[in-house]
Amino acid sequence: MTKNRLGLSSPVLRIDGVRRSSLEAARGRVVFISFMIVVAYTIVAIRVLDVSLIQGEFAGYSVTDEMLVEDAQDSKAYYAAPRQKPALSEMTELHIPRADIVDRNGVLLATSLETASLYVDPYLVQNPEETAAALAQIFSDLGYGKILQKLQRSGRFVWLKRNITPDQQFKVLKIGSPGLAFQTEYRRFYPQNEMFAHMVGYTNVDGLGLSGLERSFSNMLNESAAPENAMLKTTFDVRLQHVLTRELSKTIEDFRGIGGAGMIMDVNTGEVLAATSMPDFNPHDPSSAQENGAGFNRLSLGVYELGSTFKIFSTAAVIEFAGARLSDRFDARETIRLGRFKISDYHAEDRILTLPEVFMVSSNIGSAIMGQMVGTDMLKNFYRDLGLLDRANLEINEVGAPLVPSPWRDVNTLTATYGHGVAVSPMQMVSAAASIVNGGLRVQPTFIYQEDKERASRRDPDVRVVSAETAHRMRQLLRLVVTDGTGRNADVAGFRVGGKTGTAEKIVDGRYDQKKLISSFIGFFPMNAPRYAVFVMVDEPKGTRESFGYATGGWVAAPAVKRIISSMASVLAIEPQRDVVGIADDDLVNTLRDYIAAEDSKGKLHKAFYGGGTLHKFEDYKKEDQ
Amino acid sequence: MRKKRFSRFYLLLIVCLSVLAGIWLFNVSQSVQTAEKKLADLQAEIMREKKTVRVLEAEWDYLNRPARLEKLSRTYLDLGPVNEKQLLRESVSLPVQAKPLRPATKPADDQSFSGRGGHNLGDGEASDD
Repeated sequence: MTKNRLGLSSPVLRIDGVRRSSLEAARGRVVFISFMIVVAYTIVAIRVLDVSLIQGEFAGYSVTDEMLVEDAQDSKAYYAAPRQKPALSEMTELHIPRADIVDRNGVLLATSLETASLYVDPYLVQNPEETAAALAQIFSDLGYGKILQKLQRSGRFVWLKRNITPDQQFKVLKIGSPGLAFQTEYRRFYPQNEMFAHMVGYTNVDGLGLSGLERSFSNMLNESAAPENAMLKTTFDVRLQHVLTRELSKTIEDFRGIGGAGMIMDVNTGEVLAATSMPDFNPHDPSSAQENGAGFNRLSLGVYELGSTFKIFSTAAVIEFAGARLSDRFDARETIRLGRFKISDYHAEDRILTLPEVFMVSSNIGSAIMGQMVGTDMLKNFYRDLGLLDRANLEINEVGAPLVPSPWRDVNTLTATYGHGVAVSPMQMVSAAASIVNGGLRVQPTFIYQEDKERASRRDPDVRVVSAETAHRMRQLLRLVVTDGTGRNADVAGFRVGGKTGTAEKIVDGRYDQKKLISSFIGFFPMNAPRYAVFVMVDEPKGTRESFGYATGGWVAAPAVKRIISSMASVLAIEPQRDVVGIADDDLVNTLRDYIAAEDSKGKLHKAFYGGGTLHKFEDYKKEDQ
Repeated sequence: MRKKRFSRFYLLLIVCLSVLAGIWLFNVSQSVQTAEKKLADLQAEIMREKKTVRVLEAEWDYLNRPARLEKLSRTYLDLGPVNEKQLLRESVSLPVQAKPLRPATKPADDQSFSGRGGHNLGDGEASDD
């Protein structure tokens, strides 16, 4: 059936599909390609829609002032840091370079805050005069001329002002000059200002502790930067610290002293609730610490001959080791002469005194006799047990080594009984006295707070310095000093204050200077179950009209302790207790006053309770010892 | 022929599905992006707030310095530290209460209340009557 080429019908079959399929294929491709192009453009269109409308809508962006500040701060870090996604938890973790220091109630004593530092890129400043004028309004301390000078300097980086306030930063941003930029830095702040200058201390700009707890715990504070809420909790109480600072500075001012120290301690655990040294300084400006020795910590670094407060130790020693009884009497009529030394009484009584009276009127002669009774070795060992002869073990680095006579002669034993010839830091003396008053277990001061009171306690149950009976007698004697002795100015009705005054002459050019005193008072309360020790010391006080010219511990420091205790009572909500009077009560919640009265009248009641006492004279012991 | 139509149907279905899948994927990617953006914003805000909280805490403790509070209280309040004599153990030991100086009467009758002092309590109650 094919036809030839001439148009005749041909019998050759033409297969329709072959031609059509190739055409179709071509058309299909065109359609496919145009479809793809349409899809691609649609995607682009949708993406454009998405970027321009949807995302913009969702984020709801409008530029705020805070964002300006944030941007200025973040942009630098953003571009500098390698872009990798941190874990989710890390993303909201603040990295504070140095942990906070807080008091026992969580009040900040030291914290690190981000501050902005302003620098200028002079190349980008378009109108230096105008910018300088605007800046001079914000930073009045810099001055227009100086700022303009900096804005016109060559180079790309000039510091204008470090660590500016957020308010200043905001105002600078409002100027809107592209040449002004910020760099964020962390700076150490002390919200309590100078109140904890000596104890908490301060750091340098690189966050390295230079004094106090900042120094002794410097590495720990820096290492604990990772956890956000890491903090060093101290035993201090801001409220008590304020009371102590206020009263101490008032006392120093009233008596025109050159300095002083004060401390409040828990006698049972050794926790230091407040501690201060005057003069103090502003920790934000450490250079002020150099001015008139303000940086010197008189409480723990300074060592002083503290005077009669040492009679707490010598009297405890004579009761504990020489078996003295309250009824024992001491001949204080004659001044003791030993070689070139002369021991006489400041508050001369010129009579035979009972043991409580020796303590009450602070008789040096009586104490010297006690020293003879105890003996040099025994007294030295006792002082060593109390930690008075070695450098104290404290949690700060500013610790003074005691000055101990070397060699220790017998005459040193006599003077050491009333606090001369042995110079210790006030903190050492307070902890030694607390070790006796708390019932006889040695306690060391601590600044670091621990929830677990048993572990927190720095009371060493293995070191018993005196028996519980001696401790009890000492409490009675300390109470007596306040009710009837040299410390009457420290009595606070209802709080059963006990304590001991101390007045020592300072050594100037190798001689005791009668005009330059160290007057101190150590108080404890409540005396029936002592909880707190309060210590105040004033360096070189001068007598005033109110104190009748006296500058002794009883006139200078005792009233300060009284004011501190009455303020403490309202801060700590301590309930006042009524005094119970009665000699039959050997618990002697209050005082040995009745005992003294009975002794004076040679009453039978007294003898019935305490028996007859022995009379001790200096000569009796002189031969034994020499 | 039937087979062909059948395969076309599938082709169409697959295309439709893939387009739907594309749209769905786009949607998901959009919401993920939005969520991520939101997350980053929130995290940035948390960080900002944390920094602010630190500053405010420091400022709080700075403004609550006992010395400052004491000064403020002395200036603006008539309050003083509690005296130990003001504290008693039991209410029984309180002294017998003295009779009120003025018998309790209706404020309206009592002219002395509407004095010129800071309190206008008496005045207010009088006008109620």
